Amino acid sequence: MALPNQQTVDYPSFKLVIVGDGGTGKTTFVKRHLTGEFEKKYEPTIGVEVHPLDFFTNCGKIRFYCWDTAGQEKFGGLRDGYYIHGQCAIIMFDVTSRLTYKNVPTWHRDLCRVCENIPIVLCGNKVDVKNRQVKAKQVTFHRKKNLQYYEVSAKSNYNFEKPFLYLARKLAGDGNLHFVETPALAPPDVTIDLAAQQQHEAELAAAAAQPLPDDDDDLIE
Amino acid sequence: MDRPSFGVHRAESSHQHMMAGPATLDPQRAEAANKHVRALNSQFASWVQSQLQNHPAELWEDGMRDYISHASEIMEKFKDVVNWIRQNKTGSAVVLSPGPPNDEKTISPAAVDSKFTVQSSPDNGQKGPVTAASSPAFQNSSSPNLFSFASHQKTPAFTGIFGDKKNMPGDSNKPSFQFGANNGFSTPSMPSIFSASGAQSFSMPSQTLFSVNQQPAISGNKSAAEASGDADEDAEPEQPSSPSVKKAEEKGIVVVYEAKCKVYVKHDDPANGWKDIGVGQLNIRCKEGAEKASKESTPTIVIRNDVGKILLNALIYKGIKMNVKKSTVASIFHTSDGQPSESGSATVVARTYLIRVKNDEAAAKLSAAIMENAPLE
Repeated sequence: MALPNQQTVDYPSFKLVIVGDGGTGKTTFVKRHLTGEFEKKYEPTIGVEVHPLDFFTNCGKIRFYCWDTAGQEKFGGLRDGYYIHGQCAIIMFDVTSRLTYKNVPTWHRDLCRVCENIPIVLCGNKVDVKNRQVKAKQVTFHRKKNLQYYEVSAKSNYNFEKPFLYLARKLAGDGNLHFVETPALAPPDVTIDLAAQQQHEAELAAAAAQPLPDDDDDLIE
Repeated sequence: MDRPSFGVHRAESSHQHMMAGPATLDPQRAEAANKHVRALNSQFASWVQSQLQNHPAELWEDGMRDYISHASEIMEKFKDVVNWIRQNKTGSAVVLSPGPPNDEKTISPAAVDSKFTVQSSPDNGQKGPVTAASSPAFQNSSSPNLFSFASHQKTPAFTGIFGDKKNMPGDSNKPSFQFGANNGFSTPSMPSIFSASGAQSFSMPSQTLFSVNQQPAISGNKSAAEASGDADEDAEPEQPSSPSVKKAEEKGIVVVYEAKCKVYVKHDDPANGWKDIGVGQLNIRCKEGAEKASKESTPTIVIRNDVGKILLNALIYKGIKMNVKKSTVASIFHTSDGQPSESGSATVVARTYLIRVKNDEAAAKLSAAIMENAPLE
């Protein structure tokens, strides 16, 4: 179901609805996939933002139209309208906030009223934070409702591809489906003249003056 | 239940020992000791066969330690039998020595006479345990001489065992039960000693020797452990994420350097510093067969995230400059504007990238790899 302003693509595409309390990291998670960017500043999503996300699989290309919804009630808008024709979903909660997990059943109920029998992934986000309030063992909702549960971190990229892989497999009906590397086409040719070289040196000098980003210990191994 | 009985038995043995002197041995005790040693060896041999089949490439040190531990327990448990054998051994040693004194010669004929009696006397039942009891001590001893003596005793021992079975069928039940108790005692310690698979392997032979009463308990423990493992596995999905992306094999391309890294790009607004692009896997690739550090080798730096998406895809060009600071390398790369995986109608944009790797050393290596592959002409 393509939106009016979306171009139609010639490979399978699905509407993915992302719900959960405000501040759990829904938008950050989507943006991490879109641009690789990790947005630290929190700006509540108003209404809905739809982002196309492409993945390369061994069965060809696949697209998720990610409906990144508002988690906060005051910015909710017409929630049911966002859910309609949803083909898969992610319910996100924040493992550092017990309340966001307690509200998962409510999100699940509202979602299932509109979308019946769609694959749903429950995500516990921000597992990189040391002071977590919801332990992995305490998460049991997914078992009762036959959801898949992943602990993720939009910041450290821990398990960040797993929810999409699970949904892709369910939608394709192929348990062996897997992601393949995006093909790397030939990079653009580089011609450096003297002026460009001087400019590069100036830019590198400016970059050297920049303080290094915070040394998070999220590089695995 | 077993322990009090064992205590009483030990007391009796001690008493008899004092009364009769070193020459007398409790046949029941000797028989029990013999059965314990045989069972231990049988189980151990079975475990070795199992290990050979299932874990031939692993060191079996834990099993060896366990054997020695059990052997020590048997030595301690049947101290009276061991002491008697040691004294008997002393006499034998004297017999073997050259030029025995007159007093020792007196002992020597007694020993010879004893053997003769064993072979021909109808009192075979009484002597049998004595001979059989010799085996445990020698098997537990690492001395070559003692081992040789044991070999010498092989045939009489066999005869003795046969005779023993014939004369005391009732006695054989009790020793089996005692060893069962020993099995029960040693089994709980196995899981903590071995790795999971090792424990399973070693416990299997034990099952064949367990009595009916013992076996259900072990099965219960095992299934409980498995259930616990399943619960933990389900409750803790925090295993290190296995790669969901299959690596693509590209013909004619050689990867000359690989590293895990984090990529930042300089913000257009200088006040914002570096923009985090994400964690990925860095590869420096060259064309196969082309000369190193040449334009024909088209050295390329490619960084992909865990979904296989490209974070950076750029040429390493002649005269490339870099800043190495702590665990980071900063440099300018040229990429297509828009989607990195699309070519054609897109302008080339030069941006300053910062690549963070594991440590300072890795940063130096990355910098060196880039310099080594940069075209010279």
